[in-house]
This record gives sequence, structure tokens and C-alpha cells, in this order.
Amino acid sequence: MLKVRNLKTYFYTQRGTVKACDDVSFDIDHGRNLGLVGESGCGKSMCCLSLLKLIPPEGNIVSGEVLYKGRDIFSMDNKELRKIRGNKISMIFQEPMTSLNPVLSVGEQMTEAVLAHKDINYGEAKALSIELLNKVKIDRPKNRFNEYPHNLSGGMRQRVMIAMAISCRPDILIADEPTTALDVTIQAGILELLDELQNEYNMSVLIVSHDFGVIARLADRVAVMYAGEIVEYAAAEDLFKNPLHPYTKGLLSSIKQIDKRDKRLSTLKGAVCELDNLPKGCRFSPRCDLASSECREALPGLKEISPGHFVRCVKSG
Amino acid sequence: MLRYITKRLLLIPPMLIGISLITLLAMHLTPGDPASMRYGLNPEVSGSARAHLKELYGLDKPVIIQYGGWLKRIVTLDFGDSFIDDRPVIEKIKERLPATLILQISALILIFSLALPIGVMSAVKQNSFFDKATTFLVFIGFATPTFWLALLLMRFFGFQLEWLPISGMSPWYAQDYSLPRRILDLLWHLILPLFTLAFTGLAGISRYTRYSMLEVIRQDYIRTARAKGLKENKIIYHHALKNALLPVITILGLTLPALIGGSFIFETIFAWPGMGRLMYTAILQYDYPVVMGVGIISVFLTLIGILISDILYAVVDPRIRYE
Amino acid sequence: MNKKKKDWRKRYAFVGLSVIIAMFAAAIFADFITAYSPNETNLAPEAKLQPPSREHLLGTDDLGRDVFARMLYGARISLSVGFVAVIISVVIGVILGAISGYYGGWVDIFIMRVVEIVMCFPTLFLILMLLAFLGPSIITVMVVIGVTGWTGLARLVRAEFLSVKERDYVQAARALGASDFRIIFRHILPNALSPVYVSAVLGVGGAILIESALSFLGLGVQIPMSSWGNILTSGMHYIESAWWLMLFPGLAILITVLSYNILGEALRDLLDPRLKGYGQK
Repeated sequence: MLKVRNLKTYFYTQRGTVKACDDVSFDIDHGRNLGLVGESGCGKSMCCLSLLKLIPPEGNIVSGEVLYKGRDIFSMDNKELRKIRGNKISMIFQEPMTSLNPVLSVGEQMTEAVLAHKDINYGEAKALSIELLNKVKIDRPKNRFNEYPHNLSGGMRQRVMIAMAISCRPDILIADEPTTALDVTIQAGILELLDELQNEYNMSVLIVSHDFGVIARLADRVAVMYAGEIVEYAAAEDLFKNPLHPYTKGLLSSIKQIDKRDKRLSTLKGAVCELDNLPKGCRFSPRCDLASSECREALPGLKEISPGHFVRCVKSG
Repeated sequence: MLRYITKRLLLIPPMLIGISLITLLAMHLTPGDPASMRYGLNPEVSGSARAHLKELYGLDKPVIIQYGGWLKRIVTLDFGDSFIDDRPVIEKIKERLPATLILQISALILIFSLALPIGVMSAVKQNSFFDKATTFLVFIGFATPTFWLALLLMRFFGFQLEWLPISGMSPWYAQDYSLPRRILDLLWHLILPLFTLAFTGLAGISRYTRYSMLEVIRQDYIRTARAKGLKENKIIYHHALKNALLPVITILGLTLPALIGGSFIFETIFAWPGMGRLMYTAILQYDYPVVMGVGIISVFLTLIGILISDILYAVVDPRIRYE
Repeated sequence: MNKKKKDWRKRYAFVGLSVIIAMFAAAIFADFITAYSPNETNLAPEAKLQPPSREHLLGTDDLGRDVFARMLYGARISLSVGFVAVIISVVIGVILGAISGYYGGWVDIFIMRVVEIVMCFPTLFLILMLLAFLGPSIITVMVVIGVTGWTGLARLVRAEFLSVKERDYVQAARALGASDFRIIFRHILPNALSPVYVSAVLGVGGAILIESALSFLGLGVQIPMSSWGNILTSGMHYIESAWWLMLFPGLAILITVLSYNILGEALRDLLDPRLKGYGQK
């Protein structure tokens, strides 16, 4: 359904080139969910935004293809691109508090999304919007329709964002850290809602998170990102059972330790390397216990270790 | 909304008290020595005008009574009679008010209809030729003495090209004209004073719109609007501009004093029969009650303008409307 | 801000400053620059209203006076009015802003209310009312522009004080028993000065504009003393015939104010990136 090939999104800054996405490839199959996981600042968000050409003006999509049903999104003109955005592929964001326009009513923001793509009148769009608000479990949807974002809590705003995103029955919903800014209790509700909607609409969700818990809840396949690159890409079950990349192992074990209330918190030492100052060889090598001189010399490629399980590490397999 | 407006209205009484204090103080600062007044008329006239003023506003009475009397005059808009023709000041102002309002309101409309598109365009096409050119012009605009610009335009369009009338509102023969013709004639005379007055606010407001737009188009909700597949025009002129307008409306309130002050200069230069020109002649003639009257009325106009801009703000911003 | 941009800012600042210094120099050494006296009239018809020529660089006015000389001497007035008026504004603004920000509470509320009132007052009308009672003179103009122009500064200084007064070194000074006066002037103020410089420099331009407008209307600097504004008054009387009377003083005002603004904007970017207000991003 959606094939991303060799996506490179760079930011040219005064300090140098920031490689937010470097040669990223993955597939999203119809009705299947892909999880994209990695620490903050590893380029996940820019990668998602690139798919719909929504990156900020300082960013550049240097090369790559995003094929939606075989058509390259990057070579579309603005009109064609608009027909994809919000209609075939829609998106929700990390910050529900700022993602809705504060001076427009919830109803206006919802109906305009529908009216932009569907050939229906305002009355029908309004009815549909109220129905959707009901579907995302917002109480008193008829009243909420006329209210403004400041009347809603963060969780409700994210529900409105979801309602808006699914209003045109998209094939793919990109959810960029949809629960990160919310309270834990509300997070679960949002994830449950996404899960329900995914089944009901038979759409694919690209779920992006730094939290393996969120990924595990929804994803069928998982791509692990580190410093702008995908370092491991596998079926979810396979990845959790048999992580191959030291980075994936580190991330997973740090969660397990929390579960076990282990005193030692993380086996991942150091911080994510700066995207504008990458090491020469494997980007994870400065933080990796297994790193040898070979690792520091050359950038490893993505290898298929077992069917459908890819990893970018010379020490694996 | 009602609470918000009440809160704004409550700001007016302290304003009135402050203004009445400042103006009373100004009257007391009048030097006793008429010889220090070297301008215009006979010093004896100015001396007697001052004595006359003291009598009119009871400035020789105890301070409390003076102040009470003055405050009452401000609230009831009763500034006494003009020293020159003994007509009530407020009547003289009433005659002149329409001309000033026509000039002010059309200047405001012109400023906004030019400044908003300019500001939006330069923000959307940041660092383009258009943006750089307007930035340059705005910089020049900030430094231009507007009365000089008025003179240049007057010379060029009025004398050299003879395209536009250089003064007055309507010539004496205008009374014979039909109504549409009179309106056209009014607009005709309005062009030069209007343009120069609008110039006063144009640079600032367009700059501020640009700045505010640049902030807004980086916001998350603009990205959301794009992700919805809306047309770029709708995103810029509906989603972004409506937010960007909020700080611009605040600036509008702060520009009003400058605009009203500007009308004093341009009404004088272009012989536009408004309040500013009335004030100018009054100052030259030591017609103190008129000076006080016009001063206070122009403060009232500013306050009304600021109140309107507050209300506009609430209309645009639901966070205040439904407070 | 990157280095290249910073270099440009420095260049702008340098150009602005050079022009201002040149203007001041011309005003101070007016006696050496021109042989004409600014007030020497020559009512002979062939001397009046002469266009620019070798003898009279910028022509003569309706009384046969040399316009270049009048502009040089006028520069003294216009430049010093701007300067003195801003010093008055700075003194009032800094003191009230400092008190307001430092003490807070009722004092703060009171001073800020006063600021709001003065801001709502159409400044020009306030100036005119005061001039009407005090009588027009250069001193009055300076003082009146000064006492009406301090509101923005007071707000700026107050905001700086609010942010600086909680910092450690101020708390430390207080713990050591330093007096309020000392804390305000020795510890906080020096750290709050950059916005004051910027806004003072920008304020000079504004003050020069107001002074020239008032003098133009005959309410500021009084004849026979010359100022750029009142040369323009005769420019208006002879608007059809004597273009030089109108063009040069206006250009002088424009260039001076522009230089102050360029210097101010450049200083703002160099001294305090936080203040970037609505300058270039």
C-alpha cells in the first residue's frame, strides 16, 4: 500500500547538515500497522512528516520515493498532494494542545476537512462530524461541535484530532507520538480507540513512539530507528522475542528492568548522538558494548538475517 | 464577553481621573509672565486670555473645588465658551467632528486594507524580493517626516501635475452640486490628506502583521491544516491570518493616539476643516477653552477606539469571547 | 545569529553611527563650514529665493538667507532637542520602571496604570496642550517631548527588573544587607541596560520627528532661530516655486532619523537577541 524507499530528509543548518532521515525504507501493508520506535530526536517525526511533505521549510527531502498505491507522492503537484493529505493518508500529532486552531470552532475544523475532499453539503458534513465525535467517545457531541479547543482537555482534543483524521476514511493513519503528551490514564483510552478504529475502518496505522509499550499494543511490524537510520526492521513478535541489534536489545531490556523494579535502570549509556555530528562508522558504536574497530570504520548495511527480519549490525547473524 | 467588556469599561474612570489631573496641572503651569510668550499675538491678549481662563475654570478657588469643577466639566463635556466668538466650545467641536471622523475612519480602513496583504505576503514569501523591498520601504517609512511627505505629494500631485486638490474639504460652489457629485468631490479632496495620514500607520502595522504571521505559520495547527489537505489560500487567509490578527488588533489600539495626533498636522497642512485644525487656530489665538475641549475630546476618541479594538479582539478570539 | 549576519549588523551600526557623528560635527563646526550667517537677511530681489548655486549651495530663502547655513545651525537645534528629550525620557522611564519592577505590589500597579493612561493619550495633543499653556520655546519642546515619551521605556525596564531581581546575585546582595538603592542601581540596573540603550537610540529618531513637526507648525523652535522644521515652513509657503527650501531640510531629517533607526536596530540585534521584536528574523 505504501512503500517508502531510500528517504533522505536533511536540514542544512549553520553547524552542518542534520541528517534527520538517512536512507529510510519501509512498507506499510493494507490493514497492517507499522510501529516506528526510537529515542527522542532520532528523526522519527521528520520521517513521518516527510511522507506527506509536511516538514518545516528549513528541511529538504533530498532523495527517495514514497509510493502510495504505486504513485510517487514526491513527484505529485500540489493539487494531487492535497487529494492525498487528510483523504487517503491522514495524520495526528504529538501535541493535541497546539494542534487545533484556537480561534476556529471544533465543528468548523472538522467539517472543513470533510468538505475539502468529499462532494457533500455542509449539513451532511455537520451530521458526519457529530457522528464521528460520538464515535471517538466525546460526550455531548452536538454541543462540542460548537465549542472551541480551549474548552476541551488534552485527551479530548486528541480525540477530536482522531475524529478529524478518520473523517474521510483514509487508508493510512499516521499517528506521531499520539499519547506522549497525555496523562497515563488517558493514554490507554486513546490507544484503545486507535485499535478499535483500525479494525472497524480496516486502515493501516503508522504508530510512532519512543515507548515500546505503545508500539507493542498496536504494531504488526516494527522499525527501530537510531540516529536517522533504521537499525532493525521485523515482525513485532519476532522483534520482541529475538531482538538482534544491540540498540533494540538495550531499549527492550530497559523496559523489562522497569517492570522488574530492578535498581539498575538502563543498559543504554550515553545519549543519542547529534544528528549533525555523526560518527564515521556505525552510528551506535560509541554507545555499544560490543563495538570493535571494524564497527568504527564502516557504516554497516541493512541485512536480512531471517525472512523479514532486517538488522544493521556487523555483529549480528 | 460581557464580563470582559465590563472589565475594560472599568479602566475608563481611572483614565478620566488621570487625564483630568494632567490637564489641570497643565493649566496651572501657565507662566505668569506674558512677555515669555513670544508667539503670534499681542502678549497682552495672551495675558488677558490667561486671566480669563482662571476665571472661567475657577482656578483661583481651593484646589478641591477647582478639581471637582474641572472633572464635572469633563464628564458633561462643558468646556465653556470660546474666547474668540463666545460660542460654546462643544458646539464648535461638533461642527468639526465629522470631517475628522471621515478622515480617521477612512485612514484606518486604508491602513488595514493595505497593511494586512502586504504583511501577509512578505511573511509567506519570507526573504523574497517582495519581502526585502517592503522591509526596506518600511524602514524608510519609519524615518520619513510625514508632514514633509505631505508637502512633497502636494507639490507633485497638486502643483506639478495638477491632478489633485491641495486643500480644503469642498470648494464653496460645492453646495450647488447633487449628492453623488458632492460625495465624489469629498473623496477627491480626501485623497492627499488620507494617504499621508494612512502612511503614519502603514509601516508599523504591515511590519507587525508580517512578524505576527511569521510566528503563526510555524504553529502546529497550521501543520494540521496542511495535513488535512486544505488549499494553501485557505490555510493562510483563514487559519493563519485569523490568529495573526490578534496582536495586530492590540497594536491598532496603540496606533490610534498617533493617528489622531497625525490628523492635527495633516488637517493643518491640507486645510481640512476638522478638530485638529480647530485646535491649531485655537492655540494661535490663545483660545484656551477650545484647546482644552479638543484635547479632552481627542482623548475620548482614543478611548473609544481602544475600546472598539478590545471588543474586536474578543470577537476574533473565542478564548476571551466565552470567558 | 550567525557570524556573517552579525558582521552585517556591525556594518550597519557603523554606517548609522558615522552619519550621526558627521551630522554632529557639521553642527558643531558650522562656523568653519560656512561663511554665511544663518540670520543675515538680504532683501534685494536678486538675493531672495535663489535656487542652489555656487555661492549658495542649497539656495536662499524668502529673506535672502543662505539655506545651507540655516540648515547647519538648525542641525544644532534639531540634534540637541532629540538628544535632550530622550535623556529626560530615559531618566523618568528608568526610575519609574525600576521602582515598579523592584517593589511590585501597589506601587507597581499604580505606576503601570499611569503608563497606560499616558499611552492612551494622543501624545501630540498632550504636547500641544502643554505648549499652548507654556508657550512655544525650544526648552518647552524638549521637556514636553521628554515627559511624554517615557512610557515604553518604563515598561521595558520593569520587565527587565522583574526577571533580573530574582537572580542569585541579587538575592545574595540582599542577604548581605545592601540597601534597596544600591541593589537597584549597582546590581540590577547595569544588567538591564541593553534594552534601554536600544530604545533610547530609537527614541532619538522619534523625538527629532516630533520636534520637526512642531517647529514646522510654528509651535516649536521660534524664528529667527532656525531648525529643520521651520525652514520647511517657508518651504510650504513657496511650495510652487522654491523646491530647494522644501527638499533639503526634509532629506536632512529623513537621513538623521534613518541613521538613528539603523543604529538602534543593529544594536538591538547585537546586544540582545531576545529583543528581536519585529525586526528581521
